[in-house]
Formats: sequence, structure tokens, C-alpha cells
Amino acid sequence: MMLHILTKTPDSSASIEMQQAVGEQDSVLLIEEAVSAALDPAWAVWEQHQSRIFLLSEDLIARGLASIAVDNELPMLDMDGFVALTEQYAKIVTWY
Amino acid sequence: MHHGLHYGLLVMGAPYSSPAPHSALRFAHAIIARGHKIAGVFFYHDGVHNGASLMAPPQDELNLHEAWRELNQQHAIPLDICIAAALRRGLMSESEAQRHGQPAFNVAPPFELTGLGQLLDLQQRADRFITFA
Repeated sequence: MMLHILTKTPDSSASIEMQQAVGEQDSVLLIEEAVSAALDPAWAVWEQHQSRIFLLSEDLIARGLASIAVDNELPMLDMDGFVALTEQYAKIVTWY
Repeated sequence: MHHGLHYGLLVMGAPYSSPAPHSALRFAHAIIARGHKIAGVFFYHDGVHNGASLMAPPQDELNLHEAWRELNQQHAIPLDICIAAALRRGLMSESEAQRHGQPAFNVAPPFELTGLGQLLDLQQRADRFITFA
């Protein structure tokens, strides 16, 4: 069980590497540049890791993407939720 | 709910060129707000620039160096900088500046220049270890 944090865009090499590494019990948090995934609700990773993948709301707001994420009904967490997620996973890896 | 976890943070991005330091800082405050502890913050690679005491951004912008100092003052969190990465990038404490015959220094407490052993120690002591890069 692991938490994966992605900081780069969905089409980055960091993202491709991460997608190959995510296990069935793992969760994914998209932060910084990775929140541009909100623009692509058809991204295969949304369905693959349904209910275990989240966008960081503060970073969506900073990039003007919050309302798009809401319109696309994508799952979001705030900073407090980010910490709560790290409480559940002893192993945490950042892809960058 | 898990209470009282000890977190270690690794910061690898420079202020104002990478979002990593600001993410790490906001995360640090959220950790404390949830009742956990921060065992230490380690600055490595371009992250060492967070320790530059001569940082002087415009007044309406967040001064990240000052924000880390405040975090240390409020919560006694160690702020360790990789000495090898720092010297390469022109960051020095007073004692290092003397040793290298330099006329000035730009790293001062609470930031401490230290070796990678400190990073390994933090990784081992922390219940949760998170990289911001």
C-alpha cells in the first residue's frame, strides 16, 4: 500500500512512470502541474484508480482550474485532506 | 485517525522557480494543524536556495526564507541544508565562508549546513517521509 504524489503534467515522463507503478491498493494525489489533469476528464487514469485518485484543491484554485474540476465532477482534497491521506499510507513516493 | 505522527520533509526545488517549497511549507502547516509533529526539513539540490538569507522578494510576495524561519521559531523544527549542494550553488555559513576565504556568507541559523547522514537519519526517524520536488 502506497501513496503516489504526482507533481508534473499528465503527459510527462514522471506521470507515465507513475502509472506503471500504481498498485491496486494504492492512492494517487495530483499536485502542482499535475492538477492540469482536471482539463481532461477522459484521462484513462481517472477510471483506472477510481475513488483512489484526487486533485489538490489549493493548486486547482491557484491555476484557475477549480470550477472546471467541479464541472467535470473530479475528486478533490484540500491540504488537510492531503495530510489525512498521508496518515493512511506509511510509504509515500513523489513522481517529478 | 492517527495522532502524533512524526513527519520528515525533503525539499528539492528552489523558491520562485519551483512550486515545491511553497507546497512543502503549506503542507508543514497542515501537518501541525492536524496534531502531528515535524521531525525535520531537509533542503537538497536546488532546494538549498530556500536557505539564502539575502532573499529579498517584493514586499507583496511571500518571503519563503522568512516563512521557514517563522516555522522554526514557532515549532522548533530543524532546517537542514545539504552542505555539498549548498557550496556548489554559492550558499555558505559564516564558518564555511571563513574556511573558503570568502568575504561574505548567506546561510545563518536556524538553517544549518549538514551532510547527507542527517537526511538518512531523518528518513529513519520519521513515520512519514515526503519529497517535494
